[in-house]
Amino acid sequence: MSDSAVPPVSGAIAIFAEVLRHGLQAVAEEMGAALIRTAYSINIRDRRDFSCAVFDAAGRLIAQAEHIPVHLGLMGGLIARCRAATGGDLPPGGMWVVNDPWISGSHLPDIVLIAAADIEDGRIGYVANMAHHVDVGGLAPGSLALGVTEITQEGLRLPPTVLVRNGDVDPNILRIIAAASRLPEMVIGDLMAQVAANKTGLRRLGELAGRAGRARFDNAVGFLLAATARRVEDRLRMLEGRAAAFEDTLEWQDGERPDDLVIRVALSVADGRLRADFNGSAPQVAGPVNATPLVTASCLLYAVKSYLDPHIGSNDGLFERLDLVLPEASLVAAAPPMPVALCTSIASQRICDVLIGAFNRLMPDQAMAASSGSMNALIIGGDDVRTGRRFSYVETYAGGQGATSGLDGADAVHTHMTNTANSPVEMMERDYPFDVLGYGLAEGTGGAGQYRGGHGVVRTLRLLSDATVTTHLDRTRTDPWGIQAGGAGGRSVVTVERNGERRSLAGKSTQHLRAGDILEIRTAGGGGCGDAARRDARAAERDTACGLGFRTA
Amino acid sequence: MAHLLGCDVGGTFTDLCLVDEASGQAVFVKTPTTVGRQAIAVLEATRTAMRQAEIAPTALRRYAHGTTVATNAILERKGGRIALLVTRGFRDLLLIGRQTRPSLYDPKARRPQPLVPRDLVFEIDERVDAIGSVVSPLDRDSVARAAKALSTQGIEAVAIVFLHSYANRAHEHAAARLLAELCPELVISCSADVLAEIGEYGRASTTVMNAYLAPPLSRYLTALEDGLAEEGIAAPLVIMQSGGGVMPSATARGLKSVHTCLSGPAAGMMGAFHIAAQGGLRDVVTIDMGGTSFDVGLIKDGEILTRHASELEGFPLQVPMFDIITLGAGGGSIAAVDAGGLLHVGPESAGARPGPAAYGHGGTRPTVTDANVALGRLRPGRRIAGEITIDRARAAEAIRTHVAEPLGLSVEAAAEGILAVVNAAMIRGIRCMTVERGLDPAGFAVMAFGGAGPLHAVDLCAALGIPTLLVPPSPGLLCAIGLLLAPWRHVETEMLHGDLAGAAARIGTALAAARERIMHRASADVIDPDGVSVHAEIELRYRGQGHQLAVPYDPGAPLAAIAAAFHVVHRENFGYDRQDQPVEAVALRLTGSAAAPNATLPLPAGLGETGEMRVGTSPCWIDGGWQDVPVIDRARMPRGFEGRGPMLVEQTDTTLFVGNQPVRVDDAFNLIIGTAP
Repeated sequence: MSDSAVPPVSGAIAIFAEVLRHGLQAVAEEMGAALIRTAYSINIRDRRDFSCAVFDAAGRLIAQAEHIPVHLGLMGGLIARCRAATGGDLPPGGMWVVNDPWISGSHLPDIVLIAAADIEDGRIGYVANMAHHVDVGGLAPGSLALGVTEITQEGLRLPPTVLVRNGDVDPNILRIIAAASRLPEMVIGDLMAQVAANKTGLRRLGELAGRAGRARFDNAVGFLLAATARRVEDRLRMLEGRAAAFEDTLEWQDGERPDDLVIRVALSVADGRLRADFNGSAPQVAGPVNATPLVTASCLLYAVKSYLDPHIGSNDGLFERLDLVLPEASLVAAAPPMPVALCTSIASQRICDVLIGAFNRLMPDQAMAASSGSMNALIIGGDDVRTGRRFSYVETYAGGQGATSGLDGADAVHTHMTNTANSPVEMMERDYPFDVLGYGLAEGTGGAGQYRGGHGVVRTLRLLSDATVTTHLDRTRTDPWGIQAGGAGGRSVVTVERNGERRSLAGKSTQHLRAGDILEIRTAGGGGCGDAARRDARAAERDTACGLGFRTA
Repeated sequence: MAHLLGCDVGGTFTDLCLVDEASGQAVFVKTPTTVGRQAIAVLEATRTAMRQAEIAPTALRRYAHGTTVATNAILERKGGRIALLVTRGFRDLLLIGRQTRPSLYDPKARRPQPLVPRDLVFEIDERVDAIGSVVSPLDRDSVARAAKALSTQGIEAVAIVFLHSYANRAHEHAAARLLAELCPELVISCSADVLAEIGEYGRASTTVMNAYLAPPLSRYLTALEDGLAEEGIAAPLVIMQSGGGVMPSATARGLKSVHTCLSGPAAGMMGAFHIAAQGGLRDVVTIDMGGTSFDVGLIKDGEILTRHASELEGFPLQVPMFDIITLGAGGGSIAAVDAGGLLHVGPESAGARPGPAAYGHGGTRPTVTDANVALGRLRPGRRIAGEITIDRARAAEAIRTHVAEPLGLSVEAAAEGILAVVNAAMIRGIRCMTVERGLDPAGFAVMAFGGAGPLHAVDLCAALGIPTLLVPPSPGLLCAIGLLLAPWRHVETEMLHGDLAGAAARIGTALAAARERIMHRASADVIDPDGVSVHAEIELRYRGQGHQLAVPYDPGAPLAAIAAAFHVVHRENFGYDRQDQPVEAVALRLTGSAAAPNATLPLPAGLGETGEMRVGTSPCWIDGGWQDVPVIDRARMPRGFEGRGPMLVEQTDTTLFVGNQPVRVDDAFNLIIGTAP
């Protein structure tokens, strides 16, 4: 293909494009620094649940600093979607606010602010940042409720709305957002931090483009995107003609009846392009586990980066050689008015597993077994008997990583679409009404294999106050699979012990528990790789000495 | 006739400075580091210095030392064989860590293996709650069982980390006493003594590292002290800590081993600090570029930025350390055109072997150093480190093959491109260091050192809008100054809990406890408690926040004034305050310091030599053409020199390339380059 060859007169621009890449990445990073420094909520400041992006005048994504992979695919095409939705463009000095899952891509708590960047000779681009807000209304605090059947129950949904005009924030729009939230002050504080982050980005992008000069800037941006696309294509050329399919299931209940949902993908590589076809996946459901089309795109981009090139840039060039085919009104591409609150925490992880299963067949040398397969969220709220104040605890628990050929899976780690830190036990006991009785590896959850799967974790809490407990877990009745004759990892289990009696809870449930109840959450392990009989004798001996043998149950 | 001695061991050279306290007359010695057995070069340099200064060993008043023994033990995983005692239920503390992975997209990237394997972690029955009350007593039998199990395992040191020990150390201390009775040869580190702060994983990681480093440090310091004694030196041996300040060798061997992790870079930063202070600079970005890395540090308002939580090789360490960020961009970073057609520099490095193509040791891929050579910024034929002769033809060939031809450029344009790309990465690093801390780099001066730092510094200053660049006389001098002038320093922390309002009594108790521990440490370190000054900081946050900020704590001031100071600092750092929100007290941190015996700056040696400073000319590629540029011998540049580039300033350990900028030499022989546009 002639378009895959490096243009012969690319010399100086190949250098300037790389210099500009550093500059653009610095713009996105400095926006993130401004956001962290001015935000109110722990979600943004500590958990870093946000992403920043830079676009050119045509609306193409040219740089992105994402802190969790689930945001990877949401920014590409954002400007075009906003223009289409509003039938126009941002005026100079303006910013849009948007959280519509079919425009900005994620669930409702993820609010995006987009700003237009203009210099003397016109528009040079846009900057945007997405941040997870503590509450945007809906059925339950945190806006991530389980018992919903349509998006209107999940909270405030904003189409692209002009929040900033001529550099000034419109107080009427702020009032609308504040009125919809249970924690209006914190949401407004975080929104103002997002405005400040965009202003930082605008200033820095203006300086960068000003120094480069309009024409040189545009040329280098074009080269940068084309270079990224060529780099993807270069990797895909090595897979030319290959095809593979895979399917797996997501756990769901229809009332009390288990009703697991199939996700299916067929991958094929032809003409230096990768096609990912999700036809055959389950229809959308009247519950919050549906994925938006853009979250599914994030999963594809994550898999592409992991398998083809972890160091490739996150810009529009990454999308260019990929064709994503999604069945309409399906679990992987829900249509309004379906609810989508758990698209990032549950659906994304299983879509990712399915892609990994298919990539394993496309690229057996780089195969990896399934990891724990869920973000394992635990949410506890109530009144703290010790202080009389309301408390709200949210944490996503680690699990086991799947083994790869040549390497055991990591124990107790956040995998795939997420990567956030845990709560130190000492701080949990200080700040919330629980005793933490234990926190360790879930022994017997690592999948058997020549290379074993990683272990999940088990944490045991005794409640000191009555509390409402919600869990978002998967892999309670399906296996994190092994590869190449490796065994599956152990499943996840949630139990409650009251007066010496123990019962299991569903993976996705909300319960009212009492002071004195003991809650145990045990997350899934990772699958193994290769025949366990071929495991290195010394490694097996170490496992035994350390009490970390293969999956036993 | 009293003399002070500072000796710093670096990766390549051991630098030593011996100064006469009264006159400031100094002797400098530089000798190759004896890798693996650092004491050999240290003792050799000590003998040489005493001979040159013609002094008796008894004339030494203090022997200050910076060592890389701890750093190397971490990098090479050659610390002690250690075990860990934890509260029952928390055996996997180290394995779980913070549950995050090091790379978002690389499935093969892993956190480092814990320094204690799971079978050497022992669970002990005991429990203390968050306010320090005993929930269940220490079970002595479970300690005895652990002692028995580890006695057969060849364990050298043990870390004890019990939950909430920052609030009550009794169980850790009781377990340590029992263990010491049963296994008297063990070195024992209790987490509350290493770091009395909340957060079990950070405290455990730090304590385990302390135990891990104690055996190799102890072996090294014993060898060094024996050697010094043989030379008749009785002066106290003090060791540089990662956050500046020194401690006696005996303290470094066990109690505070983990404070030596970045002993070497700390000495350099302390030296940079004194040079900046002498030159009246209060806001300085320091850049230190060597063969494989680029370090950025900060001096702000006349103080070195310090952090109390950092990471080394993936291990969290919560001890004071100078706030330095490191990028993998050095002279050895390799340039390559990727599959998409972009020019990249690094992260791959040619290292010391084969090294840059210009070194002629078999390297064929072009590096940053080769780009400097190809443009004449490193003079062909120049000898580096005694054994390497710069070969321009090899550098040009590597660039031609791997960059110039694939991109259709001349060798010179390709070399300029390599420098532009690596400089862009470094500019991003400097911006990250300053902007993330709320600072504007344009308000700083740059101080450049390391073999390659000065070569790039002029371009970096220009790109960042920084008007002043300072190049100190030599990196060896920098470390020596840092060591000679380092005060004794010790930090103690007490956790606080709850609202600031009404906490006066609790803070008073905490202050007294921390102060007592500092004075106790001072006496143990043979420091006169009367000479110890104590500075207190209180860490505060708004209720519900996850982050805290430190403000100075004055015991005489009303709490309302402290809250007011917090609102101001919060606004400065984060752009807003919330005077309506309750302020919570998180921790009290006290720093005790006692000044160095004598704060005399050594007079530079090997500078201000007589003779023609212009030693020749050499062709340099400037603004698209070759020009013959004067080559200046730095040693012969006189104080008060004023001139203008272009020029190449050469000294034994580095080269500075100046374009069309003004250059002068100040009273302390620093080169000052005006980089304003």
